[in-house]
Amino acid sequence: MKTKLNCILLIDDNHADNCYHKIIIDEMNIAERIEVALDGEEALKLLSHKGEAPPELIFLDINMPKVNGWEFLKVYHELPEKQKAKTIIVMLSTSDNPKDLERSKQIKEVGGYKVKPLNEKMLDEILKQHFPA
Amino acid sequence: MKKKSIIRKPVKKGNKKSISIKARRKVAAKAKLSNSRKKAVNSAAKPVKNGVQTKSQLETSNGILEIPDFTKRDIETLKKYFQLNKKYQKKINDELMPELMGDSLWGPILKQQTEKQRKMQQEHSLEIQRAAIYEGKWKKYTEDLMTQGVMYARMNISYKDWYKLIKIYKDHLIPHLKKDFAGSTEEAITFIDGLTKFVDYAMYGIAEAYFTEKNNIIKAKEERFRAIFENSTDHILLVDKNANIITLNRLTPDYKEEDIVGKSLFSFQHGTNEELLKKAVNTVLTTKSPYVFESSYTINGITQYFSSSISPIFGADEEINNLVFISRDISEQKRAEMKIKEMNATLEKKVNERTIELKNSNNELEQFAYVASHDLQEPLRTISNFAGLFERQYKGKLDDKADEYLSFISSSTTRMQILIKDLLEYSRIGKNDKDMAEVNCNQLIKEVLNDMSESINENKAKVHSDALPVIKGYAVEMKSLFQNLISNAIKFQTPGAHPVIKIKVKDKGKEWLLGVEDNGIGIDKKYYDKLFIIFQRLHNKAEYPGTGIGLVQCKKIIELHGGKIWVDSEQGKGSTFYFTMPKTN
Repeated sequence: MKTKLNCILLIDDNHADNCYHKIIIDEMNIAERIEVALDGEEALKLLSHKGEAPPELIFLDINMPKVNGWEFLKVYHELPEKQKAKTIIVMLSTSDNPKDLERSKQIKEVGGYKVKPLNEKMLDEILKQHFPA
Repeated sequence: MKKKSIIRKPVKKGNKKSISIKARRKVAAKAKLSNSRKKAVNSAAKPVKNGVQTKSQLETSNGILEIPDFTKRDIETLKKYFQLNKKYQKKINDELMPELMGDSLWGPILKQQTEKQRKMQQEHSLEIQRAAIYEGKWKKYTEDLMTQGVMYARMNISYKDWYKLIKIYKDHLIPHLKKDFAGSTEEAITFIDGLTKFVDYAMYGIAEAYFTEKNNIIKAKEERFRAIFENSTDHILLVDKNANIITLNRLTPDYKEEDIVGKSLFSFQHGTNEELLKKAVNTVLTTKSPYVFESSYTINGITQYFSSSISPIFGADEEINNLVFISRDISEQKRAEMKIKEMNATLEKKVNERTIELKNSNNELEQFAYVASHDLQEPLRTISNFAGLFERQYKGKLDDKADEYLSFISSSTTRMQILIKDLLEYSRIGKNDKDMAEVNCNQLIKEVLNDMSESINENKAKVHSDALPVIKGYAVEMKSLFQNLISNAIKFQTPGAHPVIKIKVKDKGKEWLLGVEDNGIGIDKKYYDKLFIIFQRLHNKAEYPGTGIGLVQCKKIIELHGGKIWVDSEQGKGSTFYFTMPKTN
């Protein structure tokens, strides 16, 4: 039986990537809902909506206008633990620079680092690791 | 005439003084002296040649000697003397010889001649004496006397030593004469009168020739030294130990000799130069050795530079007598030197500027490569993503042509992605924030082989490695270096062959020499240069895939560590890629 998440949030300013990733996730049928935020600021707004359950999985891009990935993580870090408890953040970037990978490992909230584009194999691994049935 | 000779004598003394400039030089001079004595001895062995040489000089000094007015009675006496001399000569010789042979000066000289030669010479001079006394040939006799004098002078024999020889002969002859004249006092008186005249004449003749020649020798020597002294382009001053000027070789237009001689050397200097000179003189006086220094003078805005030396001259007591001050104008040299220095500085500055410019432009270029490849990745990925998606969703739903076009788009996009990824990796080399660290190459190889296990197993490759050193370097880059070299060694193989790879190391003192050897297809020598050029490929993509950046990356990594990379290969017989790693970075 496949795990089906309630909500996956894509934080990325690249429309084409968002579109593609949405299709891949849709095809795999692993989420009820896919939300998109075009930058960190928008994402933070979305996450602060009370009453709504936070997304279980966030894919976070690094290079974005206004609030980039790293800046988003700094603010996210300050959120109450209770709000963050059920959310896994996976970095999803164009960069395969080892420097970025190293940096992401230093951040407690980050549960993984993937290089674009998302594919089925990657998603399978993430689900297996973080959301075992 | 005799006075003249005596006056010249001190010159000889002075000459001796200058020989003993220094204790060391004294020894050297002594050796020289004995050398010239030996030469003189050699020439003495050839009396005929000597006679010829002296003749002309004799002529110039001819007329000095006036042949005494020998009376008939004198001649009779001399004849008697000659007969007696002849009578006793052999006897005296037999007595005299052992004594003379043992003499430190005359012994060696006499030993130069054989007994026969000596006898012949004696007979020769006896014959000359005879011809003078009996036949009145006094000119020839005089010439012979003077030849002897000149010879002794040239042999550097002192007058005293020569006189010793005469005295020994005389001491032996007198007792015989005393015996023969014991009977008659009157006869003895007559004999002594005549003989005294004769001996005075002979002694005077020899002495005159001796001192004339001695003077000539000294004069010639002095002239040579004077020529050197006066024609030197250097300023040479002889000063006493209180720095008062005794003599100098050249005058500047502003001074007459009397303005300078007797004055203190310091009185011509001012300020720092005076201090410099005082210090130099004091140093020479205390250390008793020469002192070299440089000084400069600025007159009317023009600076002249001098290189000077002060050397001590030692007296016979080995104490400093005088000082020689030698000064050379080195202005031109100095100016050339300064110009070169200035040019060097300018050049260095320019080189530095150019280096910075180059570094900047190089940095810009690398930055450009990085940004370009980084930013190209995104749109390319989008093309690739959607080409893939399109293929997945519409393949077979359109016509065959559409499918073919799509596959071209996909494969080209993939290839471009690999190229850009390689380029990005290349421009990232050395941009790590991490410092150099101790890198255990054995551990590195282990990790690389682990990462490559799939390819190694697939190709049935065998990798042997020497015990490798721990080096100072960048771990990430070093790993990528080994990965590149090993994967090349596996890749460039004849199909079906099993790669055998050896990793070798040699300690070269200041650096390590490492080599990755394979048994692959090898490389033609003419392509060696192309190996390390970016995106340069030597093979068809279908045969041996790749972007042609691996070895360029290796080169950049090795140069980052201060090493060098090269290849040694033969087509069909495998290749070895060598590289050096400095031990200290």
